[in-house]
Amino acid sequence: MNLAEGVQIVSFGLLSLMVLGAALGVVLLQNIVYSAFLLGGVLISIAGLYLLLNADFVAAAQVLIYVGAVNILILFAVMLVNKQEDFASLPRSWVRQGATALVCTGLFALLSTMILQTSWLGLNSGAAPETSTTILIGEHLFSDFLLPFELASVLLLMALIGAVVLARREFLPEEIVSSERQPVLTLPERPRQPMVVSSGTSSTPGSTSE
Amino acid sequence: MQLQYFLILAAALFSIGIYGLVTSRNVVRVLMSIELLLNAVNLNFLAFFRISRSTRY
Repeated sequence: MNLAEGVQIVSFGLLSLMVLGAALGVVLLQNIVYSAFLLGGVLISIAGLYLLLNADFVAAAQVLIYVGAVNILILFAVMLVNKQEDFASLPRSWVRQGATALVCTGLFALLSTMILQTSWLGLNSGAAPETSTTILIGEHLFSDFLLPFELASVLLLMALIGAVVLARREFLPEEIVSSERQPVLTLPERPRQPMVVSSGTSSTPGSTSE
Repeated sequence: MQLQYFLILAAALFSIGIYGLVTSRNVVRVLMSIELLLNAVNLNFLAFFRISRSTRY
């Protein structure tokens, strides 16, 4: 064992300890804010494992997308819906949790025996690709997989326009209740304000610039 | 680096995610457990990518 393999094994051990500890914390901790932050720790440690596997682009995408988008979204959900209500503790809840833990340990034992008893000799070569994976991904995205790439971009554009349309709609519930002759097929929406505010119309609350 | 280490780590992460998915009583925590499951699957994919010697991906 030379130095590089030793460094690899030590870093793998540290990263796997971080992953497993933080994942146990995500599952077992009572406070859900701690769980959300520990989920970020899990995702960052998995990005480190991707770096160990020579997948640099996927590691960068993991940090950007999972830690930067998914984890922040979950934190927003936690902070917005935080009711701090305690569920009534079920009678004999330890039986259910113990049974679930037993089943999950059995699943892990089954999977690990399967992994250890299968011979991976036909695959266990460890041949790294010659060029960087980012270059390969870029070449394939713009040659073979051009149509799915463009379809995904069109889908993202549709989601973006839908988000803008949904966010621009401002409901005015007191006017809905007051007006009797509300047309049925149109959504209640604030009428478009003119860009140049004229001097006579000061009835709208948003146009009091003086 | 052996393949089996990564596979066993992914299996452990998957089992922890299953445990959290079954026992949690909060929707956000269920989402977090599903994220754990998806990351375990991604780790499996990348471990098998690392050892595959084919040049056509």
